[in-house]
Amino acid sequence: MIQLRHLHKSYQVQGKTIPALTGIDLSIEQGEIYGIIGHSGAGKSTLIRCINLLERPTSGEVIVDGVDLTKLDEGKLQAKRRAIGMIFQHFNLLSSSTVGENVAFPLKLAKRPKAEIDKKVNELLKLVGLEAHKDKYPSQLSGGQKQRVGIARALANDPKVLLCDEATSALDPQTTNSILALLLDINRKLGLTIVLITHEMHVIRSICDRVGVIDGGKIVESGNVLDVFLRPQHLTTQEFVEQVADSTELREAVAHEKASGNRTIARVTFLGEKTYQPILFQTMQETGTVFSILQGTISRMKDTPYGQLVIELEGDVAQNQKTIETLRQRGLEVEVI
Amino acid sequence: MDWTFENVDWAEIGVGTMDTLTMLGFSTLFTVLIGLPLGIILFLTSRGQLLQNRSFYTIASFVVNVLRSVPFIILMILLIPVTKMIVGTSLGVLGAIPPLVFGAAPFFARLVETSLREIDKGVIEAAQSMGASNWQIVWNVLLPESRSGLIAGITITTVTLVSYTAMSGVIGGGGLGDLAIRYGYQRFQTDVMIVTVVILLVMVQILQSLGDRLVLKFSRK
Repeated sequence: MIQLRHLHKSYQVQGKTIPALTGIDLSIEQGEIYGIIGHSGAGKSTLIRCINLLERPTSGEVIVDGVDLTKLDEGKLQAKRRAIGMIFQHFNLLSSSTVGENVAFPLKLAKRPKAEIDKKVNELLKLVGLEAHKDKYPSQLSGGQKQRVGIARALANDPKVLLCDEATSALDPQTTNSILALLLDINRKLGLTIVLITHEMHVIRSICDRVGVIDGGKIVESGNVLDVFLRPQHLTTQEFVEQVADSTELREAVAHEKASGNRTIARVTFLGEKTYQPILFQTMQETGTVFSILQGTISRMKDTPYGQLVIELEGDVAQNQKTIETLRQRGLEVEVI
Repeated sequence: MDWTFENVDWAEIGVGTMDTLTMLGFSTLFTVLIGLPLGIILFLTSRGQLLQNRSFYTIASFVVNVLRSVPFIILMILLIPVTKMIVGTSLGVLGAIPPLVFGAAPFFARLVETSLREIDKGVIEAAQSMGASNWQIVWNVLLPESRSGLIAGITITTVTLVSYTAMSGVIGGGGLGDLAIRYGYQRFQTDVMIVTVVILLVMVQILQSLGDRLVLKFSRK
């Protein structure tokens, strides 16, 4: 659905060239939710603005639905942008227009007949749960409600792609979850391709299918959310994983245990159905190994449950080795730390 | 001090008031017609905006500043040949309107530029992301979003124009200023002066409170 090829973007600031994106290659499939995570200044905002050419890349191709946007003239680009909805961190609603008028705005720009606009606006407000607020002004709404208006507005022209620029970063955790649930819902109902950028792991873990980690203007790691976050390779990715796991405490615990003797410490990862099966318990019982749990998480990424336990095996080396082999045979991932 | 107002010819005051209102009405109209597009162009060509154009902005900005820095009374005299060219005379109500517009339009343009700058850039970006053309952005985003600021700007400009119309009396511009100068100043008829000043004062009060009320009505922040 979206292909970015060799994308470069740099800014001229006081005669100096500041690179923002340095060679982005990215392919996003129809109907998926693709998350881009990065620290501020990593280039994620520039990247998402390049997808609808709010920022024109210095070089490279931006192919959306088979068309290279960088090659279009202004008029064609404007028409093409109607098929790409966008929502923003600070909502960017028209303060002088009512909720209904805001949602009608893109349709008005596209010069649709009034009856059609009215019908569509009512449908969209129903979809985002704001029918009762049609005649209010944005200043009378809460942050979450404003973002719902933003989403309704972005969907008005039946776009194929929705770009989310830090859409939940200005919202509290509870509101964030309700907006994420809404995004997931429209992704499924309308088959919409969603690209979102964020600095919050939570957002990626809740709704994304695939993720790209951006650092210093480059995608440093990408893949399925599960693969990337259960086995983070790049330092930046590891930092984001630490946001949701208490890795610092774990490191201290591991150091403490290692200092106190020759013991085996292992990280065991469960995925999918195995998360809820007593594999670990059964294996330990069979091999007669005594173990203790140093740290553990049972959670889910989008729809996939997973668990990660850090355990300390208290048997002798040979016995521990056998236990680990058995766990691996039964489909768990075991990494000795 | 004479409180009998014996020198005041009320019929003449009536005509003077009407003349002032006529000058005010037409000069405000033309000031907005010229100043609004000029202010929009200044805004659009300034740095970081849709039609960013450094050389154009620098020149336009310079011209605006020049017109604004010449004292109105001098500007009026300097413009006499131009005024004659445009309306055929430099005297009376008609002759006062072109210099009033030349004096006030650049001032109003700056006020327009400033209130457009108040608009969140994100809103313009959102409109662009929806495929709005530049013209649609001006018409559907910039103007409605700055509506209350523009009304406040028009109010300030109109009030300024009230004092400008009075000044135009010096070069035979007609209206209340003309009366104040001819009777109040040149013939020492203080009572005429007082009456004209009170009428101007009432005019300004009415205009300002009307403007304030409209700003409040359209404010959605």
